[in-house]
Amino acid sequence: MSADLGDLGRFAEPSLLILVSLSAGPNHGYAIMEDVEAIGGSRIGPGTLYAALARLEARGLIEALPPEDRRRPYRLTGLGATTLRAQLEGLEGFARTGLRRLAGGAGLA
Amino acid sequence: MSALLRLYPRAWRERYGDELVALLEDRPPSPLDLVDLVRGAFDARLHPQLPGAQPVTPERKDPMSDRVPGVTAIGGGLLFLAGVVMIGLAPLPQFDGYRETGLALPAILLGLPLIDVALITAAVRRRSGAWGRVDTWLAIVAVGSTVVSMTGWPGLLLGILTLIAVTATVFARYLREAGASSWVVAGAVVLTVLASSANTEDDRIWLMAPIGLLAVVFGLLSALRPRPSASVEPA
Repeated sequence: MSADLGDLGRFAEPSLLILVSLSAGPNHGYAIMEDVEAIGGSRIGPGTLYAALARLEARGLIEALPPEDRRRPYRLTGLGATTLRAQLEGLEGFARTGLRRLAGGAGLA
Repeated sequence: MSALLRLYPRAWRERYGDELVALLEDRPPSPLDLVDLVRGAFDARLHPQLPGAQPVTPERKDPMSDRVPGVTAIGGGLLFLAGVVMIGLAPLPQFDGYRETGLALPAILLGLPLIDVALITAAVRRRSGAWGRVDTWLAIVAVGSTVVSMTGWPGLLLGILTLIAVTATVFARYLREAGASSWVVAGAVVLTVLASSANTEDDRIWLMAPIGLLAVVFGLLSALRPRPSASVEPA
């Protein structure tokens, strides 16, 4: 079973980036921001980050660990990992189809 | 920074406040980050997402908040209609000149942004509560143009024209997101602009009445529609 990130509206994309970041292991807010910037090339603002974290936590896709000096790490749950896998597989299929069609050249002028 | 954090609800601050402050100490916020934080605070108030405590989707948590678009549309529609009726029934002057409209124009100018905000809120709820940047700006401009129109000439003209443009945009967005065809959307935009531009000094004022009537009907349908039962988030 996996959850649908689509119902997160404008937080769907930041949430996906956060899940990808946490797939490498538990991390806290600042480190997630830095990692997302490194892997996704896009910057998440602090307000958006915590809005997305709260949604992911409320949906059971991530869980908070005990804080370390006010910095609370988060980690993926089983549902979070399943959801991330489903999302990435969907994107992979989408990208493969697009690349195949592009390689065919039928859509070129 | 603490003043900014106070924009967030207390429960949210108790849960995330410390770690957000720690993050902002690690990474001092840019002006864009400050805007993002303000936006996050509004989001936290509109869509509380505290883990564990509230497994029910916020859109369905409070049946009254579900009725907000309907009640707002009814209020705005009735206010708008009251203004139209006041002008429509006012005696025409014996010589050339304007009808004495009194409170009618303010009623129309207050009713229209209420209708706009009701439709924006309804569209946001249709999208599972996803409040977009355009929605925010449309609501701000709708309310702001009414304020501008109250400042007298030339604010009156500027405010009314802006309000007409915003109303047409809101109608078009709502209809398009509801799946209406391009022809229906285009027709609604043209009719909205024509109706809301009607001259208020003679009987053409009655051309505005459908806007108020439609808003009341929309509000009644929206407010009286049976509510779905509370749904639990996937966990």
